[in-house]
Amino acid sequence: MKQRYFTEGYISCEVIGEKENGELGLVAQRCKDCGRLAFPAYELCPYCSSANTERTFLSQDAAVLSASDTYAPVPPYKPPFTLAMVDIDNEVRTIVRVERGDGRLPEKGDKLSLRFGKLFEEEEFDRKTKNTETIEVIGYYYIPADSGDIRR
Amino acid sequence: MRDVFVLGIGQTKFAANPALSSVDLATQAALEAVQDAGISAKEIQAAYASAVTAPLTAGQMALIRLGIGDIPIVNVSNACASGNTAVHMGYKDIAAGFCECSMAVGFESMTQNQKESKTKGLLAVKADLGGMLGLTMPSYFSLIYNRLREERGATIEDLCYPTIKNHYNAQFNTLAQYNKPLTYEQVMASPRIAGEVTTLQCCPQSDGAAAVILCSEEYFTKHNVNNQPKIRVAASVLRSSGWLTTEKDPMFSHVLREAADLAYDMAEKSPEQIDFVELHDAFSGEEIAAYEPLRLCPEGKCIDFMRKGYFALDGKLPVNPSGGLLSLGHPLGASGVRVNCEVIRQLRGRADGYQVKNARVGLAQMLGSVLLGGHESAVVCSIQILQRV
Repeated sequence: MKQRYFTEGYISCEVIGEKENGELGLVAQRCKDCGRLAFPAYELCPYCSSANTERTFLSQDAAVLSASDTYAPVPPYKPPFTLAMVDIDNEVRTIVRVERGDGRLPEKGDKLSLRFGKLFEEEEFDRKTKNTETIEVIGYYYIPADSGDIRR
Repeated sequence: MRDVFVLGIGQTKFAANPALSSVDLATQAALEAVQDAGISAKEIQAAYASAVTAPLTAGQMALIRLGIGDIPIVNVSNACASGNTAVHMGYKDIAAGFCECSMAVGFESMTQNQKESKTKGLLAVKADLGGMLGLTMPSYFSLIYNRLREERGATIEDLCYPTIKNHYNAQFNTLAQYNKPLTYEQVMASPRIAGEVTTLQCCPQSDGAAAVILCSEEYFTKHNVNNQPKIRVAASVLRSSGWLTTEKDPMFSHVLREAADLAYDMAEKSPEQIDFVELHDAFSGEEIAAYEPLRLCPEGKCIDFMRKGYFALDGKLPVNPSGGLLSLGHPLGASGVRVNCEVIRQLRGRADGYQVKNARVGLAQMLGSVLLGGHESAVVCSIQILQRV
């Protein structure tokens, strides 16, 4: 099945990248001038506007600051689903999807672990072949650190 | 910089109005403002037209109907703060001496927008990382609710208080979409959207427009044929947020604090000198989260002050005496001009049933975006402080 990253066509910078060992990771940037870590990595350092930045990867672990369930549809996502504001590497605060299966809603301080996989599927019409193709849209999500892989 | 004064205001009723387009609404509010000012529309030398979903050059389309399609007109889009941004731009033109008389007109037909939208459900902003993961405003505020509960001891009843208070206030405002008081039970019985956020804790969709005419002191003195009370724009500021970091708690908006401090400095007022506030209450808990950054109460005390009725219509510092976005609805581009109109109406002493006693200084604030911009944490805040002189 054809695949694309969920950011393709919307954010041109690299959000998901391949590490030297072939594993996927979230791409961040460390500014060599002000020393701050930013995710995602944009054109210049978002703190000091320096171009003197270094590509790096965020660690796999995140700590929950706040989490809640959404009960209304947010196309292409069907409810209910869980979002959490998390801290990564004690420097990055961002909002992520949490796949918790039947587990409880994460609370402040809970540890989460990064995963990559299908977020949703979409249909694309090919004008040349007149066929409709299904595309798997790939992104990142987190699971409770103490659980196995509990993707629904 | 020159002092800037208010000559006229206009505002449509905020309600679902499928018969009128956003341009129709803008025209009505602009015309009413011109009539309120008592001047010919030809006197307007520059205009800023704020809308988020309106047609291209909607400002020109509206003002050409008043015979002023040939003046410099800028269409302004700055999320929920679009309207205050338009007022700010009109203010700067007068303050800098570029012109003597300017107009800010904000408008939006959410009904029309809904008709054209093909998606059902909540709308997430594309090109925003959070939005692409399913983050919408109610979900974001449900995350803030958790923080208010953990850090400020807020209960669910507390989090519902602004919507109950503002619906109470709105029963006296004939321009509000909803004029009936709400109970806690009704609020919690409405459909749940995210976390503890229910439908009645969110501002409703609404159509509407508002307009403000600003001018120099000399112009005001010469042209105030309707003998409007003299109201000065004591401060007008616009700030954008930086990056969301682990040092920033989403419960306490730093861009709001920065904008508030700039506004108090510019107006040479302390927060204690503000008599009432019209602020961005798109969600019930959002109003609570604004009290401390705006310095309406000491840090850590928002719930204590609220429980004592400090922000009620008859309280020490009424917040959203008009009923706020929660009761009027939120036509995106209109609301920022509307909060200025509400403050001016109060300062003129013409707010009828929701009049704040001895209103001399009022603050109008809107927060735009909240984690749903092109970047995470791309938030814009605009504040005006107006004073009757």
